[in-house]
Amino acid sequence: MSILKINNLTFRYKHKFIFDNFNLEIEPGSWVTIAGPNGSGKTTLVKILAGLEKSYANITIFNKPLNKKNMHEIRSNIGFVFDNPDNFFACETVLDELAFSLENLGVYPETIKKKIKEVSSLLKIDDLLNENPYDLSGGEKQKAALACALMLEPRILILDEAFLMIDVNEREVILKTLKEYNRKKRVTIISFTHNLDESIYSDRLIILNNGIITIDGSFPEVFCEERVMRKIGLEVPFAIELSEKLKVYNLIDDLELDLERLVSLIWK
Amino acid sequence: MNSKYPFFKYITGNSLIHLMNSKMKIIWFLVTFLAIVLINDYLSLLLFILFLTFIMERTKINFMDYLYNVLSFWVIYFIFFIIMFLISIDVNLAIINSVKLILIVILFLILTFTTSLSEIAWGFECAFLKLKKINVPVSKISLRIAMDIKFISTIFEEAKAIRKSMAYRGIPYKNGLSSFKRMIVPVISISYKTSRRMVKVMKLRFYGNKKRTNYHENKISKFDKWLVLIPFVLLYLTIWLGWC
Repeated sequence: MSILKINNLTFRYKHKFIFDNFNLEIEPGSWVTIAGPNGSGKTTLVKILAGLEKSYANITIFNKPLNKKNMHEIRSNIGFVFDNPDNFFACETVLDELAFSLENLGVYPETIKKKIKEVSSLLKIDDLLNENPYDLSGGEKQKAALACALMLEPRILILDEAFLMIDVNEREVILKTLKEYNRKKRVTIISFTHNLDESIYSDRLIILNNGIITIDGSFPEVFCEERVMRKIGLEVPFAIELSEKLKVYNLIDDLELDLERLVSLIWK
Repeated sequence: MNSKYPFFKYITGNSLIHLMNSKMKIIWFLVTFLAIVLINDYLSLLLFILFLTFIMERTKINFMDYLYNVLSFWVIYFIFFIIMFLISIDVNLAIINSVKLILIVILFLILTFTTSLSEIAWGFECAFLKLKKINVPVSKISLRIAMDIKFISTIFEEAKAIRKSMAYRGIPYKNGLSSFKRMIVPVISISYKTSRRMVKVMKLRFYGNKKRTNYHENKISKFDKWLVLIPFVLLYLTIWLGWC
């Protein structure tokens, strides 16, 4: 049984079709990365799922059709993180930001306090709580936005280029934390990105181009289609490129996306 | 504008004014505002200057920040003074009204410096809770008011950013009508986009739900009660001194 199902999605912006008869199904508890170059329809799809863009489609989330009637219930179980966190903030301190959605949902202050402690220590943002979110660095802003999404304890977490402003080391730490979160809480993560390095922990990788699914599979399956990916303008991660060459010489058995693991495999 | 803080922006702190109960703070704000509007004599004016100076000191916010913000509106005070003088041909009345305008700016500064947007919205909501019984959309109205207050700082920040980006493109900003005309269209369009964005964000973050709670809910302290009582006494004195 899928947690999210899109049937026959058609969306037009001015005269251009962004999606024409688009279909997608996502399993509960999985981490799915939807990657694609600029203009492939990633952000539009996020906006459609958030109910911010009207479309002609049969979308069911948690087995409920995504319509005006169910919108509130569906949204309260989805955490969104957008590419530009400035567009998401509404309060003047990170603490207020974290509490805001839960306050609006009528959650008791004691529970909010507990959750703030939990989430801020998970993402290590305790020292940012009294800062104005607009005064933070890009990476800190994205961490704060991610924390806001996790505060809801969502069943689905939708990340739209959520690591764009975070540096490589920090991104790695957050990705690992999210994988742990995904495993422990069985949260479905749908990550939209143009950077394939972020797909390292995903169970399924979908390559989107011009509103069409070009490749869909586990990441070794997808990275076998290296040529297709290069053709549509996606950069293949260095670790994949290297491990492919090593595989040719039988130095390793499988493709490896994690550079550290790749180094240890070579050493063996 | 040399102030370290932009206009009407919340400054985190733990002063007694920061920690006031939101509802009490809004009641204090509204009563003080009403009393200032009704000032009609120099003695009441002096009382309010002393009262607001005391409050400013209690906020533990640098006095220069208030001063920079207040002084940045000097043109408006001056124009207001001229208009009042031309209408009434009375220097005293023009002075009293211009100082009243300065006091109102200070009052707004105290509120916005010490209260976050969500606190302002919550305070208004609690203060006018009874109106919900006659189906007045109190939540929506209080958020609207809070957003409008916050919008002042947003507009000034946008104007500053536009001025900078114009300077980078070789159009230095000079005080004058032509520079103002160049600024006004982008400021309006950006402000319009910002307000539309805020509406979407609020929708996405469940604002307007009937059962709202407040994480910050501070209990009503003795200080809060005293602080709300003082403007009521001052209001009585203002009416007695100026109007009776």
